Amino acid sequence: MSITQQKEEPPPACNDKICIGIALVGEDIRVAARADGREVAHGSFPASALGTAALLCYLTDWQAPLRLAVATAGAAALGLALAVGASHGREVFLVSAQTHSAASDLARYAEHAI
Amino acid sequence: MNLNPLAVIKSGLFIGAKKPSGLNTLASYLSPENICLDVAVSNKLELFDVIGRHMEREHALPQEWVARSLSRREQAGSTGLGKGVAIPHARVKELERMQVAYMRLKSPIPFDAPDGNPVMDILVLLAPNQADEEHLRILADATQLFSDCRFRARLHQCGHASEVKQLFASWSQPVAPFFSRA
Repeated sequence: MSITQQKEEPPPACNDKICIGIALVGEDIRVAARADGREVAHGSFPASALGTAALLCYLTDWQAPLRLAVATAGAAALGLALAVGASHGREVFLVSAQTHSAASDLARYAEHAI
Repeated sequence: MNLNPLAVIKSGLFIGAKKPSGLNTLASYLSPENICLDVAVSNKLELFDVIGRHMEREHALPQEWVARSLSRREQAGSTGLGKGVAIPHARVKELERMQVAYMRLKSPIPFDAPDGNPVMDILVLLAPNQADEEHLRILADATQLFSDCRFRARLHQCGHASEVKQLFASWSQPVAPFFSRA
């Protein structure tokens, strides 16, 4: 196959880590998790102190390296990104909410980001 | 072009569907025998022992195994959420189905919660290893409930396990309609 005929391949997916998308939408923190190349869970926590604590609990539950993509749509979302990225072994990607705002899409983004 | 109306409906946009509140999901896991009020413990380890004994008595789960799983998870990070609530939980390989229990303590105990307050409301979750979706859903539902100060106040007024069960089952939040692509 000549170079001109080569198709553009999507970036390799990071399938050996848990990839999680997080979006702050109204009064909810929406979460989606991907493992082994597929979505394994999605849900939402209230956007409150309790909800943030529960989200941190959930992330700790994985007990594995995490790649987190957080949609940034304001100061609260940035604060959330800092909170979830505070633990060792986590990569956090800040994604413009205009690019991706759905938790599932963000999880997929985390899976493919280099 | 396929003009079969059923095919169109199946792939089309559903309008006006109501998002299930999901709060009754938690209630369906919580049986009256898994609700214990006025539990007397003075620290986390004692609590985990009590939970282990309860699970052994009611569900034939090894007491030490449950207590150790909860303790191990707690060492990774506190499951205290704040507002006097903690959700100690563990993923257990051999477990066949999710087990949920609610315990209200006689006196609050320290739990390293983010707000620094002791906890009195304990929601215990034991999940099978592969229950990813279920685990998140229950955790999210529980957080939604306990975030509501009115719910917590009503919970503290309950005098019997059956009242607690009824409260979990009947408490709901306003649900907004949403658009979903099938």
